[in-house]
Amino acid sequence: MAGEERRERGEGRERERRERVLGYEGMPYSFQGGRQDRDAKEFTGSCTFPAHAAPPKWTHCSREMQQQTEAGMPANPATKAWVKPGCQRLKSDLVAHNVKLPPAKSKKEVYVELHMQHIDQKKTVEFSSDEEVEEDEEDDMEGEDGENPGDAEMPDPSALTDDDLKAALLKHGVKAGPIVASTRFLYEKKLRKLLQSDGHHGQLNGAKNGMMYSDSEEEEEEENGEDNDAESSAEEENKETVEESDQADEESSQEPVKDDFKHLFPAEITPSGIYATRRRPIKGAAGRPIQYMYPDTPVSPMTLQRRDVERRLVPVHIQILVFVTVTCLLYLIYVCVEDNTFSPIVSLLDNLNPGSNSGEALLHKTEAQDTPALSEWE
Amino acid sequence: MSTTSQKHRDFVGEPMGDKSVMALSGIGGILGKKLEEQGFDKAYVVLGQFLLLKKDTEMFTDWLKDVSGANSRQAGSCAQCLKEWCDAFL
Repeated sequence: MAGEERRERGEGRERERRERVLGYEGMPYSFQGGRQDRDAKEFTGSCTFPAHAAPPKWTHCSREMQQQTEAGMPANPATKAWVKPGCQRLKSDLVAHNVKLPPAKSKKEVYVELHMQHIDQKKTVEFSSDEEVEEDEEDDMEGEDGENPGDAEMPDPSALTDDDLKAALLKHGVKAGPIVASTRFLYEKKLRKLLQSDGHHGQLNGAKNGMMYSDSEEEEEEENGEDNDAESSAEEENKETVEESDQADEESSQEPVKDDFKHLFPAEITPSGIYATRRRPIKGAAGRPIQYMYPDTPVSPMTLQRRDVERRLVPVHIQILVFVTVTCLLYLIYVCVEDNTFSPIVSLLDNLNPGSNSGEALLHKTEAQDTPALSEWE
Repeated sequence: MSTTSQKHRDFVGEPMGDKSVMALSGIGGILGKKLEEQGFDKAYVVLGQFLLLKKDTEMFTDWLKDVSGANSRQAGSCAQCLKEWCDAFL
């Protein structure tokens, strides 16, 4: 059952591919067709149903599939209706390219064969504007799969089997859970994101290595600023570092947006194979003065206040230095005072105490001596 | 995420039993209806998906955003609440 289905899906895919070659994107079935194509791909890959976000949609899909398999692909009314205009187009196309038409009752397959033979061969020879358009369409279709032509060695996540997908995720350091219908889509997405981010980084590094412009140094400084910021945000003493970290913050905040953009338009590649990248900021490059600053990233008023205060304050190490010197001074004073002044006083006090004691003792003695004398007198 | 809503505390405070998906923190009427349309009618069905993703909050958030069109805050709140429920009762 599953094998049959898969084969039929494969046929559908083949047909789809041919249609695409002929440029039938504007047809009413094109959306459905595209979806089916996608489904077919995933299906051939994995034998599990793809999870397009949700069970009900998915069940809907599978119901569609079932209907089609029950009816059989060729007998499907939708496909029939689909083939007819295709034949018309094919015929006119063939006529336009001076190809002998086959007998009138022949099947569409024959037309397609002819078309592939004659017209596609011609295209490789002559360079027409039509071809460019069609190539663009092809690129777009490939882009939908999240695969750039530039990194063709990357496997398309949707074409992998469950085990392969798991292994590929593990290679990227992600321990995948069970890959089932409702999670497969997510894991595919994750793998795609990982692959893309890898490719993106590689490209960026390459650009950096390739270009020895003066602004690369600037960027390194900015990165250092970012590092500092990450390590201790409290050490933004002078204005420059604050600015730099602001820029860094801004860059880092722009990062995900750029990624999103990339995600939406994965094929940022022109037919000529040139990468379309964001323009680099030239501010401050090659010794040019900074004419204007980017507006600060939104920060809370408290942070702004703190920064203002920090800007006015003396740098921390000077503060510490002053503190240490003052402490040393105080200690020295204390020690000196203890040695010179206090000890004489203490010793004086010590001297005084025995003296007073002896005086008291003398007094007692005299008292003691007085009383017996008095008693004697009485 | 520092403060939790009343709904969050209510959900985390007891076993979820047969609660509807709308009892989840961050899932209101509209999102709840969308989830129900897709077959996630009970909170435990959503919990099942959460567990299938190995309690990975990030991926669960992505999934919820995809499925129901929730924003990051709502999805994050739901993930947080399920995570805490798991910590308490699983």
